This record gives sequence, structure tokens and C-alpha cells, in this order.
Amino acid sequence: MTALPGTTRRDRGQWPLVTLALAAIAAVVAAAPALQPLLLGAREEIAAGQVWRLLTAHVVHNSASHFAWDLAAFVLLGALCERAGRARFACCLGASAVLIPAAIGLWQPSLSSYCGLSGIDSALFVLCVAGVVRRAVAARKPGLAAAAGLLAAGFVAKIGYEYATASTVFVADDGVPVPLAHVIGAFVGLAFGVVPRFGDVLDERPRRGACAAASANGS
Amino acid sequence: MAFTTNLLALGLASTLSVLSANPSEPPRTPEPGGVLIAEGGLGGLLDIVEHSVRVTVHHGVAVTHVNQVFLNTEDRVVEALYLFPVPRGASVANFSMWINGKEMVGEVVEKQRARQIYDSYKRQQRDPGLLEQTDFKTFEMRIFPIPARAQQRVALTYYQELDFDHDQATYVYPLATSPRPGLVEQVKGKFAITFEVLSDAPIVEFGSPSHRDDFVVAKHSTKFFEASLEATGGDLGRDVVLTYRVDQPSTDIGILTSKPDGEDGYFALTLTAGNELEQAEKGTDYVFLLDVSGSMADDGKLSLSRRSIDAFVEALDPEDRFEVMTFILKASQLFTQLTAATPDARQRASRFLASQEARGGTRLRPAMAEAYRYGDPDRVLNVVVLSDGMTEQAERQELMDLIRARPGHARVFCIGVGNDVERPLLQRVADSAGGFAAFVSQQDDFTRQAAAFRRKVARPAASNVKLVFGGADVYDVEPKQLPDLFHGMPLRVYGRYKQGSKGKVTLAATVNGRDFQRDFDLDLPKSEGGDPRVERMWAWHRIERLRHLEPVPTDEIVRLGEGYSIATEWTSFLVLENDAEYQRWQIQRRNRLRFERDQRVGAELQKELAMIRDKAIDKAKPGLGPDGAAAQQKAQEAAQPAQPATPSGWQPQQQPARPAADRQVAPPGGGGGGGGIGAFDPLTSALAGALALLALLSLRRRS
Repeated sequence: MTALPGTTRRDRGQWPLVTLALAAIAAVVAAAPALQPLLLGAREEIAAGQVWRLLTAHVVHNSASHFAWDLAAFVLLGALCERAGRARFACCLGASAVLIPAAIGLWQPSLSSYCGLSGIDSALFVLCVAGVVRRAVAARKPGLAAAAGLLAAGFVAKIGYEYATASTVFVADDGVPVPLAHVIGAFVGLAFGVVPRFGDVLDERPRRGACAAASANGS
Repeated sequence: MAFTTNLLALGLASTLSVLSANPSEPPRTPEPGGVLIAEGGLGGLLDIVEHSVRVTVHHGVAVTHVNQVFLNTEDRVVEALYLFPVPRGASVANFSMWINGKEMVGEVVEKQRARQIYDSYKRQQRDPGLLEQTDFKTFEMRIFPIPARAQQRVALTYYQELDFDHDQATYVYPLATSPRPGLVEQVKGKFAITFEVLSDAPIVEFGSPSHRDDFVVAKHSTKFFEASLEATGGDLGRDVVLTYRVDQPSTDIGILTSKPDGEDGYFALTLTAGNELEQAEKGTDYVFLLDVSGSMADDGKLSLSRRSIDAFVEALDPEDRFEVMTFILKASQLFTQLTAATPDARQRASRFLASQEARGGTRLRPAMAEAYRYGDPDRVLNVVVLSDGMTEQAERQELMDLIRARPGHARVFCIGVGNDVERPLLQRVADSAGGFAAFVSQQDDFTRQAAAFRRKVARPAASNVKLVFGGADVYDVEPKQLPDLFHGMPLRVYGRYKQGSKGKVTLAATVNGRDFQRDFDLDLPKSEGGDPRVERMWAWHRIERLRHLEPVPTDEIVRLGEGYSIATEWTSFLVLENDAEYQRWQIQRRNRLRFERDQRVGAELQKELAMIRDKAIDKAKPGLGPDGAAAQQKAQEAAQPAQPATPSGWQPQQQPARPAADRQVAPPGGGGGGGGIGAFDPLTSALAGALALLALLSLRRRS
């Protein structure tokens, strides 16, 4: 595993174990269709006491393409965020995993079930955008902040498209998308992204020789 | 002489058959969906050995194909008389019989003439078939002769616009109604129903409130669902109800056209209200009028109405006020004033309803006049009538006059309960009073119905609705006067156009007390093609309007019925033995041509559905696990299209459609549909990739 350039604290050089573990679980579930009905976020079963489904719903996917795109984004964003700061990442992951199904249960009562990692992906996307913006502000790089803002705008536009058309971009007919999951994920990501001090890499102020000093410390 | 001999023989055989029957045996029981009676003697009931139904829903219009095989279980020639209830808003569009192994398609002929031709063949012991509409709710099919111990196959097709209620479409296949009082419903034969729905908007919920655990559902895409049920024996003495809900985020107009060769074209506009037309109307007054006349005792209609009002009252908001009245010849009030919907008031209403018994005749007019007295000029008064509409004939005109003279802030809504209701009257009452009519089946989900009804009543999206066609030569638009537009309840408009053109249609309405106007593109094609169902639906709506005029323009209705192959109270379907017999009676084979055209279009639709099924199979994930191959096989089984009707024997699906386990994760509770997914698509993943690069770049800059 290549270390992220510029990481200086305890996270640098560490494997994104949480991300990899979750990805592995999602892959196992995808490879074992018999497991999926037991893990799906099915409303009636959750109401009947099978509360684990609130969390396991995220690792169930509807089709190969649904699985592939969700997982690719999760591994990419998860690895990045986890290596940038595991504490912030873990808090964001846990909060979004709980709040997304709860919000769907509350505000979309017509849905009988929910599944997929994309709500968490959305949280990580916004967490990452916030990290880059924080970093850009600290480094006084407006271009970097603008680029991150542009990507965030694209993400918002995509959610808007889902709301307007009740379909996904390019991947049609995999199922009814739930843009609410992405909105909640985005808010969770934003909430954890704007917390100024979580002790992770992106919070560090750039200073001359920091990398060399860190290398000298052996971290 | 021969005719007299035959009659004597038939009469004697029937008499012997009755005399030889064991009086202690229970009476023969009818089959689902209607009653098959052997006539031509002292009667008796025949068996239906096969009853297969295939329903295809496209653009909100359901086409129901019913195939039945009758068995004469007696040792004599009989005339079969089959009575079946007309599903609500249905237009019977074809009737076929298999004669000498060949399907003979019927033709629509003026009713009296059709009966005369039928009787003339019957006297010759030849093979005619006749399908007549006996009243607004019942069709009667006569087939003669059915030889001793022989089978006869028939098929009929009917069209109906599905009822949409808060974006939820409901389809009912009536099985619970006996068209002849005193006959006990019980099923002996095999019954199969297949339901395919291809929706314009994504389907977010799909299921059967009546047969929740019996249907097998396959979801092929967000817009194409399939469900099937197969059963034998006595568990089908209840309506089959299927519902699906679509996601309709914005106000829109959908258009379907049909352009026959050398004729003017037809169009169907479907107007749906989106969220931008939403308005909240709090603090509404309701007067529930419950019919407790004698006719409400049949088929459990009174208990169904009680449960419906209970559910409606439960669905009221605390700001709402209500009153409950019952009526026979005069009205009885519960509170004698409008009362807030408190828990205590709800309980009192429930007790009051529980104490009601069905008795006496029906007079709605005095009750309606009493209900209007509750009007408060500052609030909207909704009068909700629950009745079977069997009011006294003499007071109908008087009632309509009273409805039209209602106070300005009052609206009347009609709820028809059960299948045996005077639907046209209830529809007219509601249409004339700014409301709408809804119909509740015994097997429906009252709580859902009540909640949706309450939402809809409290939130009419737009009133004073008008459509103005610009740049298109449009005529004969039906209905002539557009009703209010309600949320989740599309408004359908049919019409004809002279020349194909591209123009605009402007929707003008009042929303939240302000004028609302929006233009939509209108593309009316010049070339031949389109969906021929539009032609029949246009003609059917025109007939529905004409039949309520005084005097009824029967000549025009017969012209429309014959021209568009629609059985009405003035036109019937007649099946003759071969083409030569049709020529002999100078009956044009218009329906055969129409039937062939329908079949071609139906085949194209089936091709489209097959492509969606194939696509769904392709999207299965065989590489994701060891069960991949088996799962794909399962998906292929699920996606097999139902067999089309053939002269050699239309067979129901032996294996009902299954959801593919690797394609659609079905909720463990069954029922299919209604699930949502969180999906990161390629575009969002690309954004994520770009973001990752940006993050790496920012960190690099730092070092």
C-alpha cells in the first residue's frame, strides 16, 4: 500500500482496514444471494425487531452494476478519508450508517425496503470535499477550493436529477433510487467535515519542512 | 315442427334430469366471475373447467383477455347462458368462440337485430354466440348448442382505464359478485391470472391487497412488473385486487395517438398534477351520508360502508369537523352539528355506525338537502355519500337538480361500495358537484383507501381546468367539461384531430385561488400508426356521455358501437359460424379487422416487454457467486412471456413468474416492489475519482 503523500501523523502508512473490511463484507454478501433477504433493510422485518437490517442494508446490492459502482466509490473515498484521519472517518461512517436508514424509515414510508452503499458513499464524498476545502483555505489556494466546490456542485446536480426523474444517471432500471439517502449522507459528511479539529492529516497547517520532520520521527 | 320436437325433447330431458336428482344434494354452484346456467329446458348450471385471465396495463389502460372453457356435464344439448359483472368503467371490445377448432371473432350489431339473427340460428341447431349488455353492470353471453358432455371455449376482451388514487392504480377482477341473487359462490375449476404493467413513471410499490401471499411478482425494471396467480378450488370467492403506485414528481401531460389510414386521427391526453400545484387546505368540514336501505344488506355492503366511514373518520385531522348521517326515506343525524374529530367523537361515530341495520327504500334527496344545511361560508363542506346508488328512480332527476343547486363552497363525493352498485348515478352526482366518485371493493385496504381519499379531498390541485389547443385542428373532445384536477389522480381527455401537426396545448386552471397557466408541446402525427386502443376509448367516453342525455341518441350510440366494436345496452356482439354467414346477413367484418390490428399492436407491445425481460436477465449477476448460473436460469424462467391466445387452446402459465433472486432482492415479506436503492452511478463515481485526485493533489502540494 502506497502511503498518501504528505501524511505525517499516525494514519500515514496505515492500511485503511475499516474500508477494506466493509468492502469485503459487501463482496461476500454479493456473492451469496441467500444472505441478501436476511440483510436487506426491509421495513416490516425491522419493525418486527430485526434491527440489524438497519446497518446491514448498506452491504446488500440489487445487481452487479449497482454493486460495482457503489463499491468502487466506497473503496476509493473510504481509503482516502480513512487514511486522512480514521477518527473522523469512523464517526462519519457510523453516523451515516444509522441516520440514513432511519431517515428513510421516517420520511419515505412508501418504501418497503432499502439497500446499497451509496448513502455512505455520499457522506464520504462530502467529507472528502470538506477536507480538501479546509486544506485549500489553510493553504490559501482558492483554485483548489473552487475545484472542490465544482465537484460538490456536480454531486448536488446529480441528486437533483434523481429527485426530478426518479432514475439514476446512466444506470437505468436497477431499481428506484432513493435520493433522500444521498441527501442525508451528504449532510452527515458535511457535519463531520466542518468540525475543525479531528487531528487528521487534512487539518494540518502546511509548514516548511513538515514532511522532513515527520520522516525524521519515523512516523 | 322440428323446433317443437327439439323443445319437447329438451324439456323432457331437463324434467327427467331434475326428477332424477337427489333432493338432498346441495345445489350446483357457480364459477368465479359469473354464473353459467344451462337454458333451453329447466336449466341447471354448467361447469367452467378453465378460467384464464391475462391483463396488460400500458399507459394506465388495462386490457383484460378472459379465456374460458365451459363443460356441459349433462346428457343433453344445452344453451349456455353466462352472466358476468362488468368491471367498473370497462368497455367490452371483443367476443370470440371456437367453432370447429377455429376462433370466430364476433361483430357488433344493433341489439334487436343481433338477437333475431341469434334466434334464427338457434332454431337450426347451429353455432351462434351472443354477448349482450343487460344493464349498466351485467353482461350476458349465450352460446348454443353445447352438445352433451362437450366443451366450448370462448374468449372476451375488455378495456378499462385504471383508477388512480394518490398515484396508486387499482385493478379489480370481480369474482365476488353473483349477478343472480340466491346463488352461492364457490370455485371448483382452475383459475389463473397474469398481470403485466408497463408504466410511464417509475413504479415504487406493487402488490395485491386481496391475495397478498398468493401472487408471485417479478420486477423486470422500475417500469415493468409482472405478477401471476394460479389456484384451484374454493379460495377464490373474492375479488382479485392488484395495486401499484408510481412516482409522479411534476405536473405533466402525456399524449397517445392513433392514426388510421385515410381517417382523422385520435388522441388521448393524460394530465397529472405535480407537487408544484400542491396546496394545503386545513380545517375542512365533512358530512358522511350512509345509505342504510334494504339493498345495502346484500353482499355485505353495509358492513363494508361502516368500515369505510370508520377508516375515513380515523384519517381526519384534528382541525377537521364532521357529522355522520344515515338515510333511508329520511335522514338521521348523529351529532346534529359539526363536531371536531376528537377521539371521543370518533368513538361515538363508530358506535352509531355499528348500531345501523339495513332496511326500507332509498331516498337520497332529503339527506342531501339536510347535509347542505351544515355549510359554513368560511369553510369547505365535503359531503361524502356512501351508497350503492340504488335510489328510487322517481327522485333521480330531482336529486340531480338539487346537486346542481348546491352551495358554492360544498362538494359532493360518492363512494360506491361493493361491485353491485349504480355506478353511473354516483359518478354523475359527484361529477356535477365538484367532487369525484370512488369505488371500494370488499378486498381492498380500507385504511389506505381512506387516507388517500382524505388527502385528495383536502387537496384539490386545480379547479376550473381548461385545455386550449393551439396550432392543431382538434375536435370532438371528451369530456366536454373538464372536472377538477386532484393530486395523484390523472385527468384523461380524448379527442380527434384533422391533420397531423406540431402545436401547443395550454393548461389553464385556478390553483390556490390564482390563475395558473402552462404550455405543453403537442405532436399529432400525420402518418398511419399509433395505439388503436385510443380510438375505442374515445368512442367509449363519447357513448358514456351520450347515454346520459335525454332523450338518449340511440342511433349515434349504435353507430359508434358498431363502428368501434363496443358492446353497449343498444349493441351486442354476435358470433356466427363462418365468414359466409356474416356476408349473408350483410354484417361488415369491422371488428375482425380491428381485432387483427389490436393483435399486431399487442404483439409489438409483447416484443417490447420481452426486450425488457431479456435486458433484466442480462443484468443478472452470474459472476457474483456459485449460484450464478442457476439464478440466471431462474431469471429466464421468470421472464418467459405468457403464451398468446391460440385456437388450439390458450393455456395459463403452468409456472407462475418468479422474481429472479439475483436480479431483484425481494423483501422477505413477499409482495415484491416498493424497494429503493442507493446507487452510485458512473457519473458520480467519476466525480469521486476526480475528488480523490484533487485530495491527493492538495496533499502533494503540502509536502
